[in-house]
Formats: sequence, C-alpha cells, structure tokens
Amino acid sequence: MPSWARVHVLLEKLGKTYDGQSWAVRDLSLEIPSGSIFGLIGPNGAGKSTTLRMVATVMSPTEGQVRFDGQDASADPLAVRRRIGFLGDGNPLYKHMTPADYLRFYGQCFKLPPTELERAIDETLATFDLTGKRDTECGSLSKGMRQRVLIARCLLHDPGLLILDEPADGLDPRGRNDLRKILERIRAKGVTIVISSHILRELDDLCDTVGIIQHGRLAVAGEVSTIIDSHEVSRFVYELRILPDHDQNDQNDPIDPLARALELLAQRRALVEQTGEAEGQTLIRVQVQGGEALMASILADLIGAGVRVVTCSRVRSRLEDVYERISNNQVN
Amino acid sequence: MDKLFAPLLARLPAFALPFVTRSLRGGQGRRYLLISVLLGIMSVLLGLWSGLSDGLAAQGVRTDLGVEIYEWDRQQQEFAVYVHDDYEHDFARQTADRLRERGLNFDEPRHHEVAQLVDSGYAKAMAAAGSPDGTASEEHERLRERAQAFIMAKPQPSGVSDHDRGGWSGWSDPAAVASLAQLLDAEGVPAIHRYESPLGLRGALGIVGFFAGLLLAACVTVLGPLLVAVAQAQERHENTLMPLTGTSLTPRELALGLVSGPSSIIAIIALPQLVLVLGAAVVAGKLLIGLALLGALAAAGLFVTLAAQLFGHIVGQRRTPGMVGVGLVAMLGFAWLLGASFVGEAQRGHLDIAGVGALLPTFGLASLLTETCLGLPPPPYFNDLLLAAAANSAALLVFSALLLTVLARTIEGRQGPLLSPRAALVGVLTCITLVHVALPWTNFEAELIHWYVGLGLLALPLALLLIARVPIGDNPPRMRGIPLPKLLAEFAGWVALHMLSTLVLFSLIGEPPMPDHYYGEPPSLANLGAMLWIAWCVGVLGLLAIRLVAVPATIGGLLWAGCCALGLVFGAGQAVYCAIERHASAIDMIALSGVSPGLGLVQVIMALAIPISLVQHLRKNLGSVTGAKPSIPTESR
Repeated sequence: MPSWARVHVLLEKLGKTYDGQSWAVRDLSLEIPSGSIFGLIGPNGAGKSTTLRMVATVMSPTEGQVRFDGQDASADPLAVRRRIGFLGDGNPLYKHMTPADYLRFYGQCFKLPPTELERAIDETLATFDLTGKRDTECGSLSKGMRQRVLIARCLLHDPGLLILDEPADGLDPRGRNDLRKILERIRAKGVTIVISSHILRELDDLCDTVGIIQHGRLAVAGEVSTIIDSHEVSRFVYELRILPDHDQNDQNDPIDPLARALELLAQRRALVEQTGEAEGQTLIRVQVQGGEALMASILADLIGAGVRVVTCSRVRSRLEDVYERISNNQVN
Repeated sequence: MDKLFAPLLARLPAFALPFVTRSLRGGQGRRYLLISVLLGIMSVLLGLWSGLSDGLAAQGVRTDLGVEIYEWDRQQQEFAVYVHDDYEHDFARQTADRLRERGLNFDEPRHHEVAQLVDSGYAKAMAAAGSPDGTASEEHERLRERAQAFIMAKPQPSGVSDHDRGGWSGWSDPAAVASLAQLLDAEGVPAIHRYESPLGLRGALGIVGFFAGLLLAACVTVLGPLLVAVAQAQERHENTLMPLTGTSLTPRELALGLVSGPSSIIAIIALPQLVLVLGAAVVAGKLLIGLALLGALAAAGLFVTLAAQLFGHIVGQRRTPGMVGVGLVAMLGFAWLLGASFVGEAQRGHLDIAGVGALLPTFGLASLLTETCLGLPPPPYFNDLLLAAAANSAALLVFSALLLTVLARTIEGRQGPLLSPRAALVGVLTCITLVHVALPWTNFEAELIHWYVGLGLLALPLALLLIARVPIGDNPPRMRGIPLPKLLAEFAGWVALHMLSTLVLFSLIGEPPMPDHYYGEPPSLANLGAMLWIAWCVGVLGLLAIRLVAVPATIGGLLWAGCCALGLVFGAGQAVYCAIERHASAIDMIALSGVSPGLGLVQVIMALAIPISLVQHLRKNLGSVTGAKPSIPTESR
C-alpha cells in the first residue's frame, strides 16, 4: 500500500456560490478521519454534490479551503486529485468498451507499467465480482455492474481517498447490498471513503461518521452513535411483547390482553407508536413522557392488570429518527 | 490488444498510449488498415484511369487539372480532328475525303467538327492573306502568298463570311503561324486522328499522386480535426473528461492524448496516400517541393486539429457532438473552397494575391500539391507563394503551441487568464509578421494598405488573443475582478506595435513610387481624425472581446453587441476616409454630418454611447473592473 494511502481531510469554512448572490454551500467545516467511512447526508439540493466536488478539487470553493493531510488542496489540485478516486454525479462509462478495456485505459492514464497494470485489472475485476463480465461491453451490463465498474476505476490507482456521490442512486436492493459489501472491503484496505446519499438507510450502519447538511450548511456532524445519543436524551421508547391469549387460571376475565394494555397505557398518558405481531406475540411500541421510573410503574400496572408481559426493552433511536427531528421530514 | 499493432503501441509516449489503444481496440485497427489499403488502391486506379484512359470522362478530368489542353484548342493548333469511336472515325474520314475530292464545299451531310475546322481554317487563311506582317519577315511573307494562292484555288466554304478578310493578328504568335502553315500544307482539309491520352505512365503517376494528395489533405485538415472535435465534444458532453483530469497525465499531455487517439486512425488511413504523394514527387523530380508540401500540410493539420479540439471543447459543453461536427465541416469546407478559388485567381495572373498564402494555408497547400504532382511549369508567382506558405507554416506552429497552452488550461479548469502576457505577445508578433508578408509591397499605396487593411486583418486574431488574456474561472461574474484598464492598454499596445512595425518597415525599404498617371496627393497616415477613430475602434473592439468572455450572454446583450460591431465597422471606414482625405476638416471626422446635421448628431451620440454602454455593462455585471478582489456576498440561500 502506498505511503499516502490513508488521507486525512479537513474542510475549513468552505463556501460556494454559483451566481454571486446566494450560497450553495456556506461556512462548512468538517474533519474526516483517515481510514473512516464518512457519510454526507441531506435532501436533494442541500449542497452535497457541490461539497464533494470541492473536496475532489474539481470545483474551486468561493471561500474557505480543503486540506489534505494539512496541505491546502488549491496549491496543487492536480497532485491532490491523483490521491483521490472520485465518482461524481453522472459519470458515464464509455459504453463500447469492456470493463477490462476501460480499466486498462485508466491504468494507462495513470502510467502503470504494463505487467503491473494487467495484474491490477485482474485483481480489481475479482474484487468487484466482474471477472465473468470482463469482455462484455459496458453498455450491456446492468446498472449495478456499471456502477461497480466505475468504482473499480476509481480504485485502480490505489487512492487514499474515495469520494462517491450518490453511488447507490438507481440501484436495486441487491445492487445496494453488493455496494455495501464492496465498500466494506475497500475500507478494510485502509482507504478513507466519503459517500453522499439522501437515503439514510444506506448509510446508517455503514458509516463511522456522518454529517447532515441542509440548505448548504452543516446541521450536525460526528460519529453515528454520538449523534444518536445526543439527540435522544428526552425520548424514551419501549417495545413491549405480551402473550396474546388469556391467563388459563383466570376464566372470569373475558377482555382481550391487547385492549386491556392499550386502555391502561392511555390512562398513564403513554403514546402508542405502533402495534403488531412478532413471533406469535403481540408487540406494542410505546413512548413514555417521564423516564425509566414511569415505565417501571406502568409495567407493574400492566402485570397487575393480568397482561402477561414477556419482554420490555428500550428502543434506541436510528439515524433516520435523528435526521427527521433535525430536518423536519425533508428527507426521502 | 491487437497483436498487429502491439509493437507500434509499445513505442508510443505514455500520454498517447491509452488513447491510441482505445481507438484501435478489438479489431478496429485492422478495419482501419483495410480501409486504408482500399483507399490507396482507389487512388491508384482512379489516377491511372484519369491519366491513361481515352474516354471522354478521363479527358475531362485531365483538361480540368490542366495537364491536357482542351480538345477544341488542340484541334485548332494541330489542324486535326480527334475522334473517339469507330463510327465517328469513318464519318470524319469520309467527310475529309469528299472535301478533298469536291473542293471545300459540298451539300451532303458532313462531320460537324471537320466542317467547322475547314471553315475556321479557310477564314484564318483568308484573314492572313489580307494582313501583311509588320515585321516584313520573308518566311511570313511566303506564308501569306501561299495563303493567297490557297484562297484563290479553293472555293469559299458556305460557312465563311467575307468579313473574315484581313485583320489577322496571329503573325506575332509562333503557334498561330505554325497552325497556319499546317492548314496550308493540308490544303484546308484537317487530318483525322483517333483520340488518345497525351499522357504517358509518368504523367498518370502524377495524377495518382495528385488524387492521393487531395485525400491526404482531406484526411489531415478535415477528417482528422473533425474526429478530434467530435470526440472532444463527446467527452465534454457526456462528462467523461473530468475523471481523466485526475489521472497522472498533465493537462497538456491530456490535450495531446485526446488528439492522438483519433489521429492514429487518420494516420493509418492516410499512410498509403502519403507514400503515393512522395512517389509522385520523386517521379516528377520535385521531391523538395513535395517535402515542402508535407511540411506545410503537417503544420496546417496540427493547427486545425488543435483549433477543432478547442472548438469541440467549448461548443460541446452546450451542443451535441453532431452539431459540433456539422459546424466544423462547414467552416473547413469554406476554408478549402476559399483556398481553391485563390489558386484559380492566381493562375489567372493576379500576382498580388500570392501573399494570401501567408494567411490562408489552404491556398498554399493547393498550389504546392498542383506543383508537386502534375508536372506543370511553375507559375510566375510561385516563389512568392512558397515564401508566403513557409511563413504561414512557421506561424501555424507558433499558434499551435499557443492553442495547446489554452487547451491545457481550459481542460484543467484553471482560474485566471489562458495565456500569459508574454505568450500573447508572441502570438501578436506572429500575426503582425504574417499580415506584412501577405499584403503587397509594390503598390504605391502599400503603406496605407499595410496600416489599415493590416489592422482589419488583425482585428479578429488580436481580439481572440485579448480574450485569452481575460481571467476566467468557475466563479460567477459578480465574484470576478477583471483589470479592464490594464487589458485595454495591453490591447492598444498590440495595435501600436503593428503601426510601429509598418512605419519602420517602410522607412527601411522606402515608399513605392507613385504611378505617372496619379495626380492626387498620397494619403496621410498621421491624420488626427484617422487616429482618433482608430483609437475609438481599438477601445470598442477590446471592450466587446472582454464582454464576450467575461459576462454571460443574453439575447438583448448579444443584439446590442451586434450593433456595436456594426458601429465598429463604420468607425474603421471613417478612419480610412479621414486618412484618404488628406485635407479632411473637423466636419469630415463625422462623415454622416455631410448627409444631414441630424445624422451627424446621431453619429456623435452613438460614438459616445457605444463605449460608455459597454463599460457600464461590465461594471454592472462584474465584481470589479479594476482587478480588485470583489467582496463576498452576505446573503444566504
């Protein structure tokens, strides 16, 4: 692995205006640790692509700067660009080339020696499960495979930083799953990955750190778990599982356990978010407005009322919940 | 990778390798090779057929190329009729026999051309018999006596009028005298010959070389640039260029690499044609001229290809590659037609236009190709044209280097001007030199022509160089600071250089003498009115050029720019008028005031409004027109 493989990226008060009047991105400061996967989240038009283009040095910022390992990227953008694999929004393939030809073309552009290049092509095709499609024209490949070829191209020259702008856009669930596996494989090699998406479920458990961008400004950034913790302090959601049938010893009680539980929860002013069934048991998701002591009291009441509670567990927030609270449901 | 081309690819420089490999991948290289061989065979067959065939179509090609004289002229010169088939041969011979038997007049159906030649021959003899030669040459006098005896002995054909007696002016033309002797020897009845091509194998090989040269020139100056421009437009249009800028290739290498891919296809296709041209030059004994042709072709090809690439890069961002191709073919086709028409003009004896070869490469190329392959005697303007073409080729190499810099910076997307002041100055000096080579030196108004026509010719290239000096980038105009005064001063400096060079050159060689019949006074270059209008034109042209690149175009803006351009043409005309009218008064500086005072007022208002409006527009749309860094907007999205 080259000595510069791990890249540390720092964005300092980055801003970009296209018309000189309004800002597409403004005052954006971020730190992307080397070897991590950083997710940039935001609705369409929030400024994700503009930010990534500036990080990839293909667009110059109106203000602020991007630093790679402490060096200002604008000093020698071409040198910086060679350390980056950038898959922008709308980077089509040469449709009449095969994946092998396409990778060879880029490898030659990176001036890789012929023998090393052929080895790199074979390895890359294997990494991306494209060996079987080696000599098929790219125009005939599925969208997921074409996306893999594009990402493979970005990695051919062993970059220290991989920037992917909406890589899962248009992929089917299987394609997204494959992409996720591939990104994990790349991370294992020590490559820093920056990925953008407006679909939060893509990034939830993949990214180490995320930044949520809205109206060109960074709303929040940090490790996923820290962000979730910091945004669920006053939110207590519990999942109850109860047995759906009556207690065999209490033949005089004709009321349905679920109805009884809901009645009791309503009396205690708990908000029922969801009911359903799971593994033959009745499931109730409930939000209480009083902390863990209140939940213990409610639980005692339920048991006392003959509701046979099997489990009671607190539900952690997901990134999507946090985002919804921050963005007022502006995300897909 | 195709094994056939592997050894060749291994020798390619690193910047060309990916693009050439891409162009020749799969079996494409072999297909181009096959096309190349077929085109080579086609050139050979077409050339040999045109040179050796006795058919009318081939004869037409030869006469159009100038390697054979028109049949009518040949028949007049040789007093012989050339026939093309057996039937015509028998009919013409029968007519000739009966003309001999029955005198020059008979009523039966006659071979038209034989009868025509008999009539014209008799008329010529009649005219010569009645026109004594002023030189009193004994030989001519004997010939005249023979002509008199001939018309006395033979009855006048019905197609000859008595008006043809006397007035023959052919005594001073040896060819006409020889033709007269020939018709008298034949007693007025032309010989009948079967038509055969006058060219041998050597001449036919010259035509092969000429056709190959045409195809080679088309490949290098039209097809190659077209492929490069379309490929570049496609890369730009489909956004595949940006990832390439992140590779190990420098922007300059990338620009050259993008040229090398399509050019490799052209190289394969054109190689046999190149060999054929060189072969024809060797056969014609004009290898040096042939090498000069190839040198000029290489320089022109390089320049046109890089210019086409820049065109494809700029236009391809907003238009489809197809539109780019159509636009380019129209422009290149026009350039070639212009070049060919200048060759025609020059062959008609307009020697003064030989210098145009310095400005229009196609003119020089077409002339050099004709000279190399067709074995015609060099025309009197040939040395002038060779000099002009050499200057043009050298200049095109300089322009190519500048274009490459512009391309590299455009592809890189670098902020700032595309050319440094020094590089732009090199371009300016090259343009000025070319203009001086192109314009005539012997005309008594040469200094005026060099000054004003030269300025007109320089207007477009200097404006383009100024555009390359304007700082650009992906920042919006409101965030740009453009040093307007500095750029205008630089532009004015270039114009001053041209004027200075004209004055120095003419002071060194002296002004050409005035012709005897010229009674007017020589035009005055240092006329105040002319100087003021030139300064106005320079300012307006500079502002227009800066506006074009610095401010986004709107329909209204473009319409006003068009009006300003018209005003510019009028202003240039006004400057020339002031220079020609040596005693022009202050009123003459406003030409329209001569028509009516109202129009004069309109002219004054427009002369003030145009530059003011251009400056105001720039001030309104740019962050700064002094070069200062503009302030950052505070409004958020």
